[in-house]
Amino acid sequence: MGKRILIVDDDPLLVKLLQHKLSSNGYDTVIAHDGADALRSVSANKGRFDLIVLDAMMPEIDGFEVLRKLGQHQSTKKIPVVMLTARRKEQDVVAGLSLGARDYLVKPFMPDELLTRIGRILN
Amino acid sequence: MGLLESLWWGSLLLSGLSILIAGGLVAMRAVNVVIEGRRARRRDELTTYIVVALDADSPTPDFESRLNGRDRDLLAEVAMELFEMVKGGHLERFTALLKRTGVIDAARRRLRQGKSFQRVRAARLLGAYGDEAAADDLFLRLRDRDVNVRLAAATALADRGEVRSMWELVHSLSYAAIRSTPRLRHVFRGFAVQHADEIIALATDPIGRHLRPFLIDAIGHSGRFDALPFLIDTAMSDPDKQMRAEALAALGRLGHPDAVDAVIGGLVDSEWPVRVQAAKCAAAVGIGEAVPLVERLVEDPVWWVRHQAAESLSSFGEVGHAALERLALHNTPGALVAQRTLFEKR
Amino acid sequence: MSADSLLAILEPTAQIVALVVIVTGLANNAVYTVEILVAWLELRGRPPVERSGALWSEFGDIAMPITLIVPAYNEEATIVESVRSFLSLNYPVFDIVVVNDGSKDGTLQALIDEFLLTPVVRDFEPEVVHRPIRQLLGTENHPNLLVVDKANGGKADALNAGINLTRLPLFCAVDADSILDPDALIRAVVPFIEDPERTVAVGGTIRIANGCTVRGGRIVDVGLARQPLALLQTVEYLRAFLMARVAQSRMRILTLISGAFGIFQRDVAVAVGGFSQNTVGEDFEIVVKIHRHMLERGRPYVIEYVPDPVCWTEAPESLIVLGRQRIRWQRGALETFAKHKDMLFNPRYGRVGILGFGLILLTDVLSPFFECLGLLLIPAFWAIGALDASYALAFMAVSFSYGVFLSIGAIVLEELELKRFPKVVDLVVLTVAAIVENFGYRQINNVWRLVGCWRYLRGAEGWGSMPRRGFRPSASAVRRDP
Repeated sequence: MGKRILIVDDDPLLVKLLQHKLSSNGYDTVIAHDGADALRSVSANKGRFDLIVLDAMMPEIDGFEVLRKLGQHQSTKKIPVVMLTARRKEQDVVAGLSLGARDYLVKPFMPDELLTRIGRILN
Repeated sequence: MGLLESLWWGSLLLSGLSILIAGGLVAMRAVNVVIEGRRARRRDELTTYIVVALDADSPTPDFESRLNGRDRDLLAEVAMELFEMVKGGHLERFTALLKRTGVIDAARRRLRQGKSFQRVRAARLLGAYGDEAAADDLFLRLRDRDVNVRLAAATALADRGEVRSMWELVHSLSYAAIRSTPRLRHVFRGFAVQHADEIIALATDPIGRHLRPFLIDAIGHSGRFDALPFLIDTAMSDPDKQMRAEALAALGRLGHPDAVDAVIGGLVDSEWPVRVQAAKCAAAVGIGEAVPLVERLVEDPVWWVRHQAAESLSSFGEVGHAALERLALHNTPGALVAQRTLFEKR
Repeated sequence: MSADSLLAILEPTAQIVALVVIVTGLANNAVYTVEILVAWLELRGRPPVERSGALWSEFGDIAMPITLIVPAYNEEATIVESVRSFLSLNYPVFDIVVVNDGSKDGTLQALIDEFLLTPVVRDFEPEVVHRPIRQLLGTENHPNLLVVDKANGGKADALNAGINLTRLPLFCAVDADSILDPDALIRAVVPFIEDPERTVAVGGTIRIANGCTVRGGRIVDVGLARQPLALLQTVEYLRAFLMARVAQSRMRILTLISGAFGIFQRDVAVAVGGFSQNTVGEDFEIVVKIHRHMLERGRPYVIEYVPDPVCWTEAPESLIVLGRQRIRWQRGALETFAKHKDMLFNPRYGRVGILGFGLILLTDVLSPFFECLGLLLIPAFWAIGALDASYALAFMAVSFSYGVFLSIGAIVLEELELKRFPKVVDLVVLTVAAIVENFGYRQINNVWRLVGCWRYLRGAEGWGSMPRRGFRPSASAVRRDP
């Protein structure tokens, strides 16, 4: 059974790119377009995601808030999260990592590198 | 017909005309909706193609040969979005795609012949994706009649890290109604490391006078200690307070202890922006001898200076902390600042 | 005395009155015409609007930090959603200072509960005057959020407290119920980046949220208001606020930056003493103060209006509430005028004193008065035969039909240059509304202006009550997705 990855980003082009990259490498992908969507998806799927790729800048519930909410429940705490965002100031990186993100990638990023890191986390 | 009556008929005419124009625009909009719909679908097709072609590095010559001018415009649009999104292999392959499909060539043409905003866009595209030949075109654009195009070309060259002549760059950017803009800061910082010598020379050359703040700022980013004497001299004796402040900021970035004299001088400067930068620099470089003077600045008449001084003291470890505690005991505005800084840094 | 001789006496008077009314009406229309033309020139000349991503990569590293000051009074229902939406704005570095202006409801508690606020200490200097602060609250979760709890003092007072508490070079004053586009800040800050020494204040566009779909504190679907009053205000905002301000900004006579969305240089705001307490038009007044301050010191400066960044606000849908708003605005304008009357037509204050003030005097004070006068007297004079039909026609031209040209002109300009309304139907509805605007709505507005003048002269106080619907789904003008 393939691993399931939740992609959370409001940029359609990026979503397309990630979806293609990940599914052509054997992962199942689910999309969420913003934070609220993401949290709904997680609870609807009873937290059965193997990994989440998370953007920071999204309306209302941004990536950091999603991280916070995920960290508050036992069932979702352990889902590894890789942040992928244009927010690259030091305080943002620190914030993301201290909120529990397993990794923090800054845009512009290398899709192959993301793939490698995801692979390492999942194995 | 009298004047008054003609007002009436005139106004009717005008309103009738405007209603007609509005009607025309509505029709145009209706048409546009259809066109936009097609455009969006085509864009979707193109992006799907790109996403697949980039990943497997498997272009489809058939598909690509059938691309037309509008497709190239769409690709150019997507190009800038992609540039902000990805780098590395993907971007290299995309650059190749842009070349193959003629988008780069189209951009070079636009750079020469388009309207102002088209030239600016083309400059940006070429800054991101252009090759050697494009760099030449960009360099020529430093003489463009539109200042925004010149700035875009300069930025593009800075992002690529290459420019034939810093002199030419400075020349093109000086002669303009450009007031100080931090975009220029970005441009010169981009050349700070590779063209440090020229920048240092230009900072003292009359031709660089409009751009001196940016040149001095760039020197701070160059990591070049041989520029220290120049910076120290500027910080201590330039008649313009902005230059003195910039020089101190640059010294703070370079972080070399030789800056001590400039810092001491700056801490007692008559202009407050200079004192603020001196206090910052003292902390950035870690100049212990400056601590007593920084301590005095916590009682400066200007609040920003007091605030910065207290912040700087807090980064001097034990010594600074002790100073803050001493100050906090007084009955002065400075004491208030010290107290609050102590509280915050706990 | 016979009817004929009465008429003979009345006629010249009637003619003079009619002429005065017509001339002021013409002047008023001429002003708006020039403004639309200048606005067109300005909008045509600017480069096309950038994508937010492009702005971010261009300015993300160099955009100076801004503090968003959010004065809040009795906003219990919506404050949390507002603050969340402000927190997720796309801007690299910014703080938010929410000032709870002695709310009588649960505004403060709602914030404390949602963000887990605890008391904090901040280093600040009381540079501008305001009522005492009771406590400061913050949270580790959002280090850039500060909540100020203070004694009630009004919006200006709350803004001043925010000014004191910010250390950043710029601040942005908003209303607690403003909805900002995610890239509004980064667009509005561009003049400060391009010209940091001279730019002292920037105003952004205010648009009407009625008819839009709001989700997660963002406008996800731009729609036209359905309710007639809101629709008419939409047209009015385009003509009298957007186009007029674009023109005034270009002519360097911009005197009003809306309190719902304006960015100011902190130093300058402090230098003019912050927002004034004793007026209901504090947003107009602070800009006038800034003009005065810079002109008196001979410092070169720029106050700009940028049409791209958008702030959405809910327009009143009831005549009573709208009336109160307009009456209040008029009083505020007059209070500011009175305070700064020495600037009027004073060459020392350059264009602002002569043209800026002069125009406002004409369009907001004289013209409404004469138009109302005309509306009362001219038909009456014509009916009794004291006035020739040509006068009546000219009056109608100046009060009704020419206005149609102006209102539609604004719609045309919006469509040519800004295109914020996505549906074709909206355009049609707007055009119709633009016509209707001139038959009743403008006239009521003039009446409100006169009432505002009257109230000013009689020295009335306060804001009246503005019931806030907030952005809850009800029989809502603002459609919300759950």
